[in-house]
Amino acid sequence: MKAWAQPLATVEKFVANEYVAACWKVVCDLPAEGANRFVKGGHDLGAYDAIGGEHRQGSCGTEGHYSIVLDENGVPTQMIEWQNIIDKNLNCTLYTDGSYTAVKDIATVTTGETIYWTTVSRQAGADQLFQHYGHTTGTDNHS
Amino acid sequence: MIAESLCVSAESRTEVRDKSSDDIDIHSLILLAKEESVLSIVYESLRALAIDDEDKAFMDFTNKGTVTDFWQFMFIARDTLGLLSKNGINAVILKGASVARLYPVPESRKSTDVDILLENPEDFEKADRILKNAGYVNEDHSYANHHREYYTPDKRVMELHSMAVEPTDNVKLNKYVSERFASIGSEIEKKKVLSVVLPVFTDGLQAFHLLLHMIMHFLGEGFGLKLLCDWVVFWNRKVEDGEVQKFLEDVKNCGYEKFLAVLTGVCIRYLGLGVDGTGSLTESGNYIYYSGGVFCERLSSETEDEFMREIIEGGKHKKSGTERMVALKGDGILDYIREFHHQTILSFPKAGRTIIALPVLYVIVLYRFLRNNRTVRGGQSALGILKSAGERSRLARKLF
Amino acid sequence: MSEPKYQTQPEFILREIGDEAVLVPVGAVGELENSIINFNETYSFIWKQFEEPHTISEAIENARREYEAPEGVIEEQVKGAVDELIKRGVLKAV
Repeated sequence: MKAWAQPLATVEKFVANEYVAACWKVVCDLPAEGANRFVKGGHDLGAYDAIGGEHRQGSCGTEGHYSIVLDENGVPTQMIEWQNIIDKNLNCTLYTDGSYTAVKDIATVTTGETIYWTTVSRQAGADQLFQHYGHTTGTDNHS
Repeated sequence: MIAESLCVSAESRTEVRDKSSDDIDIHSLILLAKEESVLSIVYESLRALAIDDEDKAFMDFTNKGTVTDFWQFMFIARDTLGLLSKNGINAVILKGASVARLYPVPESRKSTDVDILLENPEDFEKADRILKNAGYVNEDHSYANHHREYYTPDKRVMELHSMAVEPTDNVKLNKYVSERFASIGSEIEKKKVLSVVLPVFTDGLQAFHLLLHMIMHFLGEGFGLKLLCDWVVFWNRKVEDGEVQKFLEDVKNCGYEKFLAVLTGVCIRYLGLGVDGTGSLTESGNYIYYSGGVFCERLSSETEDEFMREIIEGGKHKKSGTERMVALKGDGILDYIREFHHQTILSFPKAGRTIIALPVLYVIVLYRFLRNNRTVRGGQSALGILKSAGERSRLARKLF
Repeated sequence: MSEPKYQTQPEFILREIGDEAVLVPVGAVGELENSIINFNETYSFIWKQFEEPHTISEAIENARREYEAPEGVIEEQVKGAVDELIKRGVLKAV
């Protein structure tokens, strides 16, 4: 016998001005600005420069590389970097500004806002901190 | 894997699955499928393999998006067509739901917008006024390339067309296509797409439109596996002889026989077209047949390989910064492809004897080759070498 | 008086794709038009009980045969789900 779970139904309604997407896209703005490596606020890990931490159009600069997942009320709950070539899906930590010191509650993020975030990715056997900043785009889909 | 998803064989799938789990980098396969916009098409097949929770989460998330988009676009298509029809304007769906309905799971065919063609181009400005009054927004008031792009009230893209395909630089061809699509009223029929009734082309015209659309992409930005999947599902069903004949007449009048041959040949070899025996096409010797006669004469396997290579890799030059680069060391891929059947039988001894599984296995074997041969030569990507003007022009000259 | 039977309406279709179950209103259904409804497994199970006319008691009985839960939970939650489906016009008495 299977374990019973409370029946749950969620409505996704596609109507003018009320459409609540299931996620927002996020794009890292650094590749467009010509940045190669980006280290800020003294958060440079020892091995960072040696191994590198490129911000590339084809990865963090691409729409769809990140998603901010929304709950049924349109409130952000999580930001994910999809299918990082090394680590698969990474959870992102958001910060209030480019000093990357004060953590930002993801529920306060709004569409169109500039956000700052980090991911920790295992590159060449060591954990690397990647710092990004970019903007959210609302409405569209997760594919 | 695509062929497995488009036509089913339980016994073969089991062996393929067992073997695939050991040999295939599932993570990269998932990424490849996503890049080619076929992840939802192969979703069920991939889920049957041994995949980890993170890959599953990614696939589920992507698939859910594709399914949600499908239904949103279905409603947009239904409502837009209904609105136009109420105002005396007839129109038809291009691509999108009109092709998705042919898939085993229609929702698995990824769409990014809705394309609607007016039966009468002179209705265009009237249609524009009707749509804008209903809350559709077009910010660029120009009428570029015979279509106009709107944002629907729920912020998705809908393109209104007055021509079925964009004109080429061939005046005679343009005239033929323009005349062919000039009075299409009798070649539009209402079809149920998962309980939603939509106007679509009849089969003959649908096939011709699909072909024209593919040629446009092939000569332009390049096209991917999704369009090949459309071709497979279209012909893996019974199409009436009369419709096939109409289609072949159009192909002949446009001089597209070779493109048809290489396209269909590649779909037979790699994507399971015809293998189920229930579709419209069979192959014998150098020919592909339909029940009314010859469908096309196949080109050489070398040309088919070249075409397949162009599809798999040719579109990627548009995706800047991709981490996946594939090198082709001279004729390496062609040599390898000639060994496909032998390698496939060796790799999958039981499934390799089952004709339904063979195309699936070919795709997996091809995928492995591409994965295992990534290098960069002399500062220029191998992709760049492939994309040199000479290479592509040579293939285009062979086909047109 | 015998218990009423309920049945799903043709204006709604259930699509099961992978682990997802999506109820799609394809007809004129009022407030649920232009939407899709995502069901979890048990909601999907409940809906399927009414593809043919059945009473709520029959649906509860089938659920008890298929699932295990503390006493009274299945009955309460099936009734709640069915009430919601009736309120939304997804199920109607036959």
